[in-house]
Amino acid sequence: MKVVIAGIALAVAIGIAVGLTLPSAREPAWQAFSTSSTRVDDPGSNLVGPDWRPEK
Amino acid sequence: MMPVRCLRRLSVLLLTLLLLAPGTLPAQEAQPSPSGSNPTAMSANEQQLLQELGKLQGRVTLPYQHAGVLQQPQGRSYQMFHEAWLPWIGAILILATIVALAAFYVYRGRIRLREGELTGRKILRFNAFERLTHWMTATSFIVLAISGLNYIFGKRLLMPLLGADTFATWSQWAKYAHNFLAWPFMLGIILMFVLWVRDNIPDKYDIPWFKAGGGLVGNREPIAGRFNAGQKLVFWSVVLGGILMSASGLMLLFPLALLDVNGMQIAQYVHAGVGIALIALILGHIYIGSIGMEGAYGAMGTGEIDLSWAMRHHRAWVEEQRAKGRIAVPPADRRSGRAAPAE
Repeated sequence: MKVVIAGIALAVAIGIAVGLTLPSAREPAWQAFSTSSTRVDDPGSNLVGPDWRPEK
Repeated sequence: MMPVRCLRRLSVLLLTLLLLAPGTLPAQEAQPSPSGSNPTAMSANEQQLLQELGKLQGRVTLPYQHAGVLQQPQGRSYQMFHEAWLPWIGAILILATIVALAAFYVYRGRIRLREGELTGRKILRFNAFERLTHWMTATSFIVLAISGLNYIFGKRLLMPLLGADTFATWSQWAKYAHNFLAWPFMLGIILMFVLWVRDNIPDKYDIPWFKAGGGLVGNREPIAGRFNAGQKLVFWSVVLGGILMSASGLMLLFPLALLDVNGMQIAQYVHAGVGIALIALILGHIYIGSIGMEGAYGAMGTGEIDLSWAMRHHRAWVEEQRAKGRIAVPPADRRSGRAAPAE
């Protein structure tokens, strides 16, 4: 059982390590797919804003 | 009266000039150039470009060069696959596997050792590093499978239950888990290949094992090495499927880095198709390694198995280990049982 738990912990640990390093190797879509001259500001992660539902 | 007459003449003159101006007259047939060629008629039109190139593409100054693709008809096939074929194929394959396993369990029950068959003598089947690798890969795979199925079925099944906001939050975390746990999964595939490839090379026991139905059909006990033919099938499916999943997954993790839009769609076909097939396969693997067969979990749980279990399911491997002096098997323990399906 110890090895089972260790295997789960190892998977989670590697996942967290990747989660901390992978974002630095990637660009957000707004940065990758547009030139700086077309950007007014950093739009953040939510490109459609908090009120995104069409019925609202 | 004179100014009125002058104005009337002026207006007639202006009207005449207006009618005679180029563009207001009925269109005249294009005159051929002095060389006799007609550049407009000879230029390629959109339909011809589409037929030749498979897409319509221009040039853009954006860093995202693929934005220059105006039309790509393959996208319609991809949409049909993603929104119609994939959910149906996925649902049918996974549900059919669950129903088949349940039916098998009802028909066959748990594959048990005979009463008094256990010797109480344990032998090592998988060492700690092998088991660590297995459980790391298994953990990653289960999270990848659940979060991957959320891509296909989430909006259809979960969103009506959870509501849009909760589903969006769950999906975002599921996406993070999918992207990050893909890496221990890839590492696990490499390690499992290195650890077990030697014992998964086809050998003389495999065809007889299949002919005997893995011991589930008839009364013959199929002999097997460290891994029987069914386990080898699982191993090679996981390794080859894992390689396809890893390669296509990396293309999706770094969108458009190496592939264009159509290439990304092909990567999606591979990732989704192989993923669904692997989930169905691993459901069978989990079944036989847990409730399906008595004693099977111990091999990956503690690493140790009863000698009689090993003799029954992997006799050739036990004999090999004995010949190498790694285990001592008294002749009285060399008995066989019936079933030896893939774990």
